[in-house]
Parts: sequence; C-alpha cells; structure tokens
Amino acid sequence: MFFLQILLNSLVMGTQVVLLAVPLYLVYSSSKIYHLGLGATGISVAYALWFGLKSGWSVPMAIIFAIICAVILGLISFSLLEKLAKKKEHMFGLLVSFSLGLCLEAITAIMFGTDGKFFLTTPLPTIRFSELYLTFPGAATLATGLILSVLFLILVAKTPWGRKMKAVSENSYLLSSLSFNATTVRLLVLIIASILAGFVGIMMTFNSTLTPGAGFNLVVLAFIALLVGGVNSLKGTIIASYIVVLIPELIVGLSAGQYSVSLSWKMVIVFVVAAIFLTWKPNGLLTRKERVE
Amino acid sequence: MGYFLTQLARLAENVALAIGSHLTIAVGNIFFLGGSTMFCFGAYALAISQKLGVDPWLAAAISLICSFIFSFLFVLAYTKLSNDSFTVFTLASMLAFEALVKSWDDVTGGVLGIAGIMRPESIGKLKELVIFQIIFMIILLFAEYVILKTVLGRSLLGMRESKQFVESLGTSTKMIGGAAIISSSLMAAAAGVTTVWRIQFLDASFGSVAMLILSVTIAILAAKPKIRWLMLSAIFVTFLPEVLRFTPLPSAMVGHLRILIYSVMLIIVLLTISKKLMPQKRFI
Repeated sequence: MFFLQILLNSLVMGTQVVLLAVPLYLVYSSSKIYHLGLGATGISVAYALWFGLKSGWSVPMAIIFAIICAVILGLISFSLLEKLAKKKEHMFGLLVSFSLGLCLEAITAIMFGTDGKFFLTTPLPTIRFSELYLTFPGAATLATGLILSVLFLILVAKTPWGRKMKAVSENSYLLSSLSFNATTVRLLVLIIASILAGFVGIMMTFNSTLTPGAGFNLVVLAFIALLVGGVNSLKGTIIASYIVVLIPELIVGLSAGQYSVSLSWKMVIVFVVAAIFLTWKPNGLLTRKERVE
Repeated sequence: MGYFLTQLARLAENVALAIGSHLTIAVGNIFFLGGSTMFCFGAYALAISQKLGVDPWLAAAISLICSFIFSFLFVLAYTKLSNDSFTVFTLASMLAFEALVKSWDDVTGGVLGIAGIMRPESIGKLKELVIFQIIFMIILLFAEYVILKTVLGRSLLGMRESKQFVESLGTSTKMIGGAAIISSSLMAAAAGVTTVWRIQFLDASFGSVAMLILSVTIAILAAKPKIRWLMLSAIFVTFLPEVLRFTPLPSAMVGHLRILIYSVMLIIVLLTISKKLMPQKRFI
C-alpha cells in the first residue's frame, strides 16, 4: 500500500511536469526556442489568483484576472521572443526567456515578498480510495493532465493545426507562401503555453506553498523531461516526465535503514538519471534516426 | 576604505568568473551555463579541504584539481548533446549541485554551511587579499589574451563562424569546445576560491542564479572577443547596482532589484546588440 501511495503521489507530480513540458514542447515546436521563463510565468499567474482571492474578489473574478495576466505574460513573451525566432537565433531566445523568468521572479518577490503564501489556510480536502489518499488539487491535476495530454497528442499528430505548428519552425517562409501566418501561430502558441503554465503554477502551489522561486525547479524538471523524451516527440516527453519524477520518488520512498535517502536528494537523483539517459540516448527516448538528404 | 576594497575585490571576482563565460559564450558561441556550478564547486572543494585541516594554498590546489576532473562531466555532455540541450543541462547542474550541497550536510554543512574558512597567512588582511585578487585577475585576463592568440582561440573564433569550416581544417571542434569548457570551469572555480577567502563563509545560497546571470551579462555585454571590452563590461555591471545602496530601500529588496537590473540589462543587450555577438552572415 505504501508503494501504491508513492506511485500515486509521483503520478500527480509527474502530471505537473507533463503539464509544463507540453507547453515547452509547443513553444519549441513552433519557434525552436526553449522558453525557460514558463515556470516563472506560471507562478506569476498563481500570484495573480492569490492576489485576487486575498483582495476579496469572487472566485470567477479572480480566475478571470489570472487568465488575463497569463495572456499578458504570453504577449510579453511573444514580443521578446518573436524577433529572435524569426532570425533563428534560438540560443539568444533561450537566454532572453531565462532572463524574463528571473525578471518575473524578482518582480513577484518585490511585490509580494519571499515568504510562503497559501491559497487555503485549512487542511486540503482529500479523496480516499481504500487506504490511498489524494488531495483535490492532486486529483484535478491528474484529470486535467490526462485530458490535455491526450488532446495535445491528437492535436499535434493528427490535425492540420499541429502540422502547421511544426512547419512554422522548419520553414516559416514556405508556410507564408501557403497563406498561413507564422507570426499568428507563434503568438497563439505562446498565449496557450502561458495559460497552461499558469494552471500548473496554481495546481502546484495549491498542494504546497506559493513562493516566487517555485517555478524554476519545475521548469528545469520539465526541460529535463523534454530532453530525455526527445524534443521532437510529444509522446516521449510525456513518458519521460513520469520517469524523471518516478525514479527519484521510488529511490527516496523505498530506501530504508542505513541506506535511507532523504527527499532533498531528489534533484541530484533527477540530474544523475537525466545524465544517464542523455548519455545513452542523446536525442531522446522515442526519437528515431532521421535520414538527412 | 573597507567598502572600496570590497568593491575592488568583487570586481576582480566577477572578472575572473566572467572570463570563462566570455571565452565560451562570446568567443566560441558555446552556451555553457555551468559557470555558477563550478564557482560553487571550487568554493566547496576549498572549504571542505580546509575543514579537514589542509593548508589553504594546498586546499586551493586540490580545489582546482577537483574542478578540473569535475569539468569533464560538462565536456562529456558537450560531446553528446545538441547545443540547446547542453545549455539546459548545464543550467540544471546548478540546481543539482545546490540540492547536493543542502543534502550532504555531513560534508558540506547543509543549509547552515561552513563558517570560519581561513585565508592563507600571506594574504590574511583584506587589503592583501584584494591586491592578490587584482593580480590574479590580471593574470587571468592575460591568460585569456594569450588563449585568443593561440590555436585554441583562433579555432574558437572559427567555430563561431562555422563549425564545419573548422572541422574541414582538421581541427576537432569537440576537442576545442571541451578545452574551452575546461578553461572556463577552472576560471570559475578559481573565482569561487578567492571569493570564499574574502567572505570566509559558505552556504548553499553561494553562487546560485545571481552569479550566473551576472557572469552571463558581463560576457554578453562585452560582445566582442576582446579583453578590454570584457573589463569595461565587468566594471559597468559590477558597479551599476551599487546605486541601489544609496537609496532608502530595505536590504531584502535590494537583492531582488539587483537581479531585476541584471535580467533587464541582459534582455536589452540580447535584443539590441545580438548582431555584434553573432558572426556576420556572408552571401557569396
């Protein structure tokens, strides 16, 4: 039963990573830029919701405010990254998005302080299955993660929208000649990515505390998942998200006695696991070799 | 006087740290973000050695040897991964190292850190240490100048233009990139050693994102592969946030404002002068 509880907790955390890895994948697919600022974007949106609720607004009003913030942050990301995406200066895009993330972190720290904030002051409501427990935000994360993963897998692989998104990063000029606007595609992707990141930020901080730096660790985990799974494979990214969370959780949870490993080692284990996977499969778990013509 | 000396020491440390980033990012176009990790690694290797009773100079040598060995992990990643994956991997190393330092508290002191790190007797006073740091900074700047004039420097500049071109001349870009990463790591570790001698205390927050953004900002602001640009950039970046000290802001806010300034500066620099950083496209 203990093992199953670890598995269930890992599934929730893995789904949080999936929910952030999917927008990273979408941004990468449409602009070939690793958007490192998405973690901080998510946390900023969570702060917006917290601010709305603390100011005494109704829940729908606070949610609308958080969504508006997410859209604005998406537009800011677009205005900063679009020029670099067009010029194919992807590494600068990575550094700009990283700096944007740090800016957002610093601004939230200045505005709200670095002490932990809580959405709920009462204990989290839980769902019980026999002897297994799951919090409501955890259950919501699992359900949304499952729905969105399937939805995006279909959207990316089977619809013209997904094909268009991939085509944008490959050759936007050719796509323009087919009367598609590459800029609009990238703008939409960044706004959707910011909203998704905001959702993850809120769900993650519902389960724990809201601090300005909380998004950075998650975004790095999501990146590791993206790299381990293969940057061109959404399926691989989803599988890898669970692997990079599950392995450390199992090592920490099942270690006992003299060889017990504390939770603080988790990030070290993730890094070692990622290093092993990336040395073994540098292009990702599910990436096939492509013929270059 | 103490403030002035501390600022000079900070400048020397920042230059020492940024030389590595300059060599990899601005000269070789290798986006190596592990400088901050190596800065911490060098500092911890020194502090742990000194805690075990090793003489400070010998501890510094041990620290550099350990850093040299550890940097091969980055070289391995560089040879295996694509450019952008390598960048994210080196960035993740910072988090992993921080987690390692916090977790392995028997050795690193965990979140409480290691206090009372002694300076070598010959540079025991702050003034002597600052003189040593400035001499060390000049040596490192000269080392970069020499590197830029050697085959390694020329090949790095060539890699910036075209990796295929360098390969076609019979030079292994992996080897050249690896050498640049090792040099960069050693310089960052050396900067960590001198910094820890100045502050004489070490905890898990040492280095972190603030040092990374600082070194990358200096390296990118320098833009050109010339050491005078690096020096000017380091002076500007080090002293700009000092304006905040003279404002009536709470000290807790100053740290965040400093990061905000660096990040905004980096964004502006990347969006405005990135053309100078990238080789000019030639059409034949």
